[in-house]
Amino acid sequence: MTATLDGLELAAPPVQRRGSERPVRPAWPAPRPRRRSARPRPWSALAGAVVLAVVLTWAVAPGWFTSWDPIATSPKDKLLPPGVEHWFGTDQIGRDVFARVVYGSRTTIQATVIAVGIGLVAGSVLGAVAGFLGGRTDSVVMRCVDVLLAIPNLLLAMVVVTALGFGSLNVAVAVGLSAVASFARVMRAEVVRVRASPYVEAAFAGGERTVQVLLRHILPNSWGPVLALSALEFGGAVLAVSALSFLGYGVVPPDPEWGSLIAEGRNWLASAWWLTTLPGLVVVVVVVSANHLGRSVGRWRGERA
Amino acid sequence: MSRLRTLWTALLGLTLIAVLGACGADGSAPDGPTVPVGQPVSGGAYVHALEADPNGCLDGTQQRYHVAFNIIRQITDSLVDLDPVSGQIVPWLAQSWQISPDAQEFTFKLQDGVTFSNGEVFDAAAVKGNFDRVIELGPAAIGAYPILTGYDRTEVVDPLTVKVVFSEPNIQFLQGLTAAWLGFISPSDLAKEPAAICAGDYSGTGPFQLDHYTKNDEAVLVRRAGYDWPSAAYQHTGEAYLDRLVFKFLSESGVRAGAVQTGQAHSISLVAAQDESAIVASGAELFVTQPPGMELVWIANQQSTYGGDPVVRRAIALALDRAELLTLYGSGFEIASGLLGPATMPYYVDQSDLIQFDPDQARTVLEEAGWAEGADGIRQRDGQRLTIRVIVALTEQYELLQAQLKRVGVEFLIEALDTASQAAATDAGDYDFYVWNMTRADPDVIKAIFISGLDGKGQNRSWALPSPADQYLAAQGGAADPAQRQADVKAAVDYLVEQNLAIPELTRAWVYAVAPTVQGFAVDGESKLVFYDTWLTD
Repeated sequence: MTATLDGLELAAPPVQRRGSERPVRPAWPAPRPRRRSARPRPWSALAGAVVLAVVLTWAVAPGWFTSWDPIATSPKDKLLPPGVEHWFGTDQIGRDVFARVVYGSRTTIQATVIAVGIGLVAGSVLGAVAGFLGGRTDSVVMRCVDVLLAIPNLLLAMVVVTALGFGSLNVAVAVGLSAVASFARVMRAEVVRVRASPYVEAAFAGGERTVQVLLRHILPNSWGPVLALSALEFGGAVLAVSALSFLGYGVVPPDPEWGSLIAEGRNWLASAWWLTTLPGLVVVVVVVSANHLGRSVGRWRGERA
Repeated sequence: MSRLRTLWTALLGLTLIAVLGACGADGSAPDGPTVPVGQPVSGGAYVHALEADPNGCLDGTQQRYHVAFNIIRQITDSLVDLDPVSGQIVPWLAQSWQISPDAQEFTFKLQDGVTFSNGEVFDAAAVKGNFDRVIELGPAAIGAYPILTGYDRTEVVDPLTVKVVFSEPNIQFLQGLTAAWLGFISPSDLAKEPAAICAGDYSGTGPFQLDHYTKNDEAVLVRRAGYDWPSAAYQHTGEAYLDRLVFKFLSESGVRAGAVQTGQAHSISLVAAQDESAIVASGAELFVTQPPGMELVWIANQQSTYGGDPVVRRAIALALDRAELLTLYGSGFEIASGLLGPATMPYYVDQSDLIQFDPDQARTVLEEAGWAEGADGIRQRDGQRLTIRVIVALTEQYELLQAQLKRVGVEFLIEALDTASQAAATDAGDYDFYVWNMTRADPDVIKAIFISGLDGKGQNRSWALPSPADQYLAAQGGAADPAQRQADVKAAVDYLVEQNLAIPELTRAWVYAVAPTVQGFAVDGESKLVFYDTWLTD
């Protein structure tokens, strides 16, 4: 396996055999020595899954969760604090903030799913092609991926969205493109590992055609870590989509979106904290849940294999 | 385990931030303002937080953005000044002046001993050079050019006497001279590239001179040594009191409010309604002024699809719920009572009977013109959707306006435009309506905006087509008889508002917050900040 890795990957953590690798370890916080827990805790992963399920349902059927119209203005009810009637309070023109968060999840989650989808599909194809073909193709593709990895994701996404123009779909595309590199790396590492395994050699020796080997033997045995990564990336993508919307690249008013809700509320931080804090907490909870679920899935796979 | 701990720490942190933020809003205030009535003291560095960068340009002649004039006013002086209290025009760099009966010749006697900060002498030749430069720049001198309408020449009679000659009567010229867009820069700067002058590379005669300007960060001014030619509207003579004057550009209203509450800024511009009570509680005072000029007005782009359609214009005029818009604002804002305002403005015309809110009538008007309501509530005619494109200077109004117009079936598309694209759309006339106000204490302020033939150049946001308003707009600028001028102004503004070519919305106010240590905080006759008389008590 190590023979197929070339020098430029030395900086990255060595690819682990059991598929629980983390492709890009953040520089901060510094990794601490810790006891490796014997078993993942199912309840906490379950909590994460429940949070995600609720938010996905918000996105699909927001009307089930609130009777308020997210864009109906009512200046006489402006800036009401959270209460029984308005769970998250109202904003400066009297709109229900909870309704805006619930309806806003549609845009955010849609954009996130599209972004992760783009990253997953494009990254996997690139990684699989590079890992499978090897040689010069591998070098060229992976060097391009290295270049992409060298650029911070949010910065790359901002460059792309500036080029594409504003709008939530463009934000999704931008975030997706910035995620391609990490998917490509993980996919390539897996494909390289699987390709060197005896059963693949046996398949080639048995006279199977290249495409057949790729589809029947290599891909099914490589996609696990990539899927785990996509759960991890989901959290990151929610954050990236919200960040771009916060900066004003996303939805057009009056449509709600999590990032733009936080942005709109920031002038009221001192007088109406709920405008920013509550949508912000929703983003935090969703991102933490997605990350936790992703890591749990990765760990379970590691134990099972 | 540790991951969970990290999560709890993060959540705890966020909660703390929220709680602390909430406490800060109504927490204990320092002692109330101390008002030491005593001799002004010299010295100190003063910080004022403006709401934005001056769009990268500190040249009054090339500027159109009010924020910039708050800085430029400290650096350049004008020939005459407008006393904010009496409303009279008072001497400044010109000691006295004479206007010919036909209002075509203006002769000024200049103050002796005035110099620019680079040592050059301010004299009649400098005045001529500055006026000639405005004509050279043409409509690019967005504020100054309309004031020199009909400019023929400037004659240097002697070093301290200058005569400005127009080819047609131009009665508004004298008032126009009071604004910072006709402040003077030194003769050796006149030949510089416009971009260099924009960047602040020039010398003025003002009480402060520019030390440095960093875009999107700050502009730092220092006191001009030896200054002794203030306008008669100011309170003292000699040099300014403050050593240094720092303008910070803080775009977030909450950050500005925090800056004055914590003492990081001595004063701030554009206090948001929601911050007023906390600011007052902290001991700072609010300083409210309504700038004279054209009110916040929906200017129809007469060459656009819907701005050129009288039915749509009328429907919009009827659909605007101004009282509801007022809920967005704090001190000083009012429903506009005409195209010009407030009522203290010279040649003001009360048009409140022309300003109505009647959404039912708006729906009827559209219905009768064949605009039928579609499934989503937006009206359509011959397959065409009634979607208007509007550029609104005050973005906080966007969503409320959108809701108001939707109630009568008009779709208001909010395009997410960055500053550059908005400027491009403005220059290209790529909008149906432009919501704008313009400060100037003279009714001539509306001429450049609404007169035909300019096709969007300069301030001509209406892309006006020839109309009866033209003759009145032109005539009021030349009418030396005040009664005649009042009649011309009335005819012009009545035509524009009756035809809904201009739809008055609100009277805008500038709300400043001033720390208790500040004395002599003031604005000029056009509501621009003047720091010449300002001093600090500690």
